[in-house]
Amino acid sequence: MSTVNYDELVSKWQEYYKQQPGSRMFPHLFKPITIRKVKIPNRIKYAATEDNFNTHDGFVTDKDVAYIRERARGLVGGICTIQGVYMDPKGEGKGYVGQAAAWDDKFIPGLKRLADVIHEEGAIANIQLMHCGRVGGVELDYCVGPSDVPQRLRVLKPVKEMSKEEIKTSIKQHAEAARRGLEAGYDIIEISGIVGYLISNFLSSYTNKRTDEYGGDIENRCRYMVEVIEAVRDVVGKDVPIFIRLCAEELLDEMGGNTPEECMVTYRMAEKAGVDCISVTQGWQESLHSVITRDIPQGHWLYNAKRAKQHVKVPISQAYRLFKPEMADKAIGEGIIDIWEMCRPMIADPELPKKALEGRLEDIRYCIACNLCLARLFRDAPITCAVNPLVGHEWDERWKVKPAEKKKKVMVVGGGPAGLQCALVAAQRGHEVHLYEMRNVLGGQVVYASKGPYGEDELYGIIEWLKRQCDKAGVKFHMNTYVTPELIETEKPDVVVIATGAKFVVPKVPGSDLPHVVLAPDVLEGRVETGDRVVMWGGRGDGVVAALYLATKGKKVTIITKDRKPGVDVNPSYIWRYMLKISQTGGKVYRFADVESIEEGRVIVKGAYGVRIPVPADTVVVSMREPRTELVEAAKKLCGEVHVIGDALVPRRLHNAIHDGYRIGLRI
Amino acid sequence: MSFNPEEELRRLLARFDLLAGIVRATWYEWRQAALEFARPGTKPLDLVLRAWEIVGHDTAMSYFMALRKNSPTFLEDLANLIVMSSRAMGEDAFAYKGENPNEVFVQWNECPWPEFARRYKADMEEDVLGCDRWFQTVIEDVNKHFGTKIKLETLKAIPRGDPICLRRLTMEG
Ligand SMILES: Cc1cc2nc3c(=O)[nH]c(=O)nc-3n(C[C@H](O)[C@H](O)[C@H](O)COP(=O)(O)O)c2cc1C
Ligand code: SF4
Repeated sequence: MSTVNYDELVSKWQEYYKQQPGSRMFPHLFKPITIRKVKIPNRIKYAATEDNFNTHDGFVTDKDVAYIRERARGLVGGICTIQGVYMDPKGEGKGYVGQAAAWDDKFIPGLKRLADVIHEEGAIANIQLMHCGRVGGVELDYCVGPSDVPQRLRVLKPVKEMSKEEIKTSIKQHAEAARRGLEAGYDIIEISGIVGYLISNFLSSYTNKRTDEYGGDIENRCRYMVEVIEAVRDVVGKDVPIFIRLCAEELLDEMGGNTPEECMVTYRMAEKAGVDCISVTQGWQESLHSVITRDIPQGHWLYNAKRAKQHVKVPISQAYRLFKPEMADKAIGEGIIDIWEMCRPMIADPELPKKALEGRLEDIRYCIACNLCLARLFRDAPITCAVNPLVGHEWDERWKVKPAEKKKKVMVVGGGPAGLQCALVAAQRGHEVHLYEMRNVLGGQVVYASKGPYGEDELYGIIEWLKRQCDKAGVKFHMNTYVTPELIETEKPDVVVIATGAKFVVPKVPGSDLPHVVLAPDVLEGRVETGDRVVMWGGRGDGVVAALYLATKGKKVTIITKDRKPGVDVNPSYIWRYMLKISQTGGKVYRFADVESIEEGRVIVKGAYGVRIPVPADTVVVSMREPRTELVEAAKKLCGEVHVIGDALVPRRLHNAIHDGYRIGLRI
Repeated sequence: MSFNPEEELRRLLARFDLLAGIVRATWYEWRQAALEFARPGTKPLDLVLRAWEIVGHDTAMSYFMALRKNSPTFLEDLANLIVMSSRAMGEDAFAYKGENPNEVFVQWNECPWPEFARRYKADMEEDVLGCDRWFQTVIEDVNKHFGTKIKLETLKAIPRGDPICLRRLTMEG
């Protein structure tokens, strides 16, 4: 049982809030709220985040404890939810290899460690119960659901229909897990009923085809959820709040899913069954629609919270692209939501609420919605974050930024993400850092990438953040300065970090010197115009972004890639959408292919199976890169410590650059 | 009647791609069915090796017509036939001469088979050994048919985590 004295906790935090500018800037965020007997000091909630940090047999690890402690501390009194736990010994409800378990009392000590650190940091502990249903059975060759409706996604397991006995057992398992949650000291019990997990499978007309009392009309489809809520209530009693996450809009029309109106029936039924707060979600993993990618404007889904408010009286919370405190404060002020939830924003910056409270908005490192964290999860790997290299290393002292033993003069060559991140860490450790950039703009490849048409400008936010933090840490910027061996000789740095990035190169084939062969950055930055028929030579991320940009301008783009598909280096939650958009404007792809020769008006493509294809082209845009390493050898002769990082080492993605920069920044 | 030659080729390629995908999927689906009906204790690897052996005899027969015993480039001709078979199955392969006169390498940069093996939960090593059995059967039959002494070694394999597949062909005498 939780031993938190809620009155004391609230008054302690409220006293503290009063002294902070954020409580005036965001008066609604830092107002307390009482749900049943639990008094919560503010309106901020860290949403459940599966992280694959725990043992494969479900025990909580030091890594997870340290990760959660950081988030709990950053919440300055808010609600900290732990990852959804699975509740059955067979692992049918287990969706992630490193998911924590709660199917036996032997898991209580680990779960208690998480509750304890949350409480030690003055936050409210929430445990989420999550049977993954159609997304489950990660280590089995099947999963379970109300009906055996075949999966749309290959990665998911074939579904076995649950018998009535299995349904009753799983309801009991929810209640047992809730009891263990209470014994571990949690203040709130949350039930996950979203995105394709078991409760949502019962609720949805797409996946529930049962003809017994658990299927049929929407009221019957709610029966499983209602019985779970009632069973949990029986265990937790009247003082402990039960939260639930429910879809307000499944976005499964193509598969015959629930209508938005039916979703609201599920809300009303959940309220009637006794839940105390509903977290408004949208979309399913099997849905064809964007939900949390950058093409969805921030705050877009608030209309679903508004709808929910018209149907239920219990408090409403919402995450989903609600990244900014000003947006959340306004939504609470307008009565659209009661609690602001965040998942990815607090992976990216665990201190986000604290920084908002302290009025340090310029210090918030915003999530760029790249979904690397999710992609890792689905590949059975522990999560990492593109912009926060510390994720998963919170437990490890070696990853912390600590003062350097000896102050050095560091010359960072290149102001892309790798160079900026390295400069920041090195300066924070006390080194004298000079960053040289040959252009008049920072960001390297991000400058081009942020020209993409579907919200990609958000990517540039991390460059602006790094620049602000570098300024604060005392990094000296030398813009429009090309570093030569002579400059190294004159400046005599102790350390040179080569972060010069990669350059676009035109491979030599007959016709590659023709004037209609141009480079992708010149197109993206508007220095050259293309004709209507464009061949994009190279299909990695740079080529896909440039193709997308041209497609939105009405150009017909043909991507030529040597890989088995375009964008092998682009996050899975983006690439299929990008390719859909490119093909909708008449775009085409040749995979396992290369350009053999270029002529006026056409390109000869050497395609798969060794076939040659003439492709009409007014312009050929080259998007292939190779490391820019001119300076490496000279620097090694002139300086005792030289590091090569980011694309200058091997052209890769943004997160590789940032992580390289961080690691080398620690090592100098 | 006017037509767009690129479109015609594209359509053909797309259908060919689809067919190649169906062939690969069918391979694993038959494997699954065969295992379900197999004698208890049958090891998937034994079944798969036997299947590739049957394929190998068939492939060798198609090579007999294309090879000439007295060709000065016999080994290269054989390597190029292997390249051709591989490309026809959607693999990206090429042959090159080694440093020794009687040595030719075949290199595969891309291969769609491991992706299908993963999809159908077949062991990756099955993929390596299966391919190997196919080629070894071809070489054995070619040796018997032409009286040659050719050897094939698998040096690298994508399903084992190598970036390429690499096979070395050497001929005695
Ligand atoms: C890495 C990751 C793990 C997640 N794990 C869970 C989970 O265990 N339970 C759950 O209900 N939602 C989970 N979610 C969904 C989030 O809680 C959240 O609803 C979603 O990311 C949208 O909010 P955001 O835009 O603030 O990230 C996860 C999301 C991510 C990115
Ligand atoms: S990995 Fe990307 S999406 Fe996930 S939290 Fe970090 S920045 Fe956001």
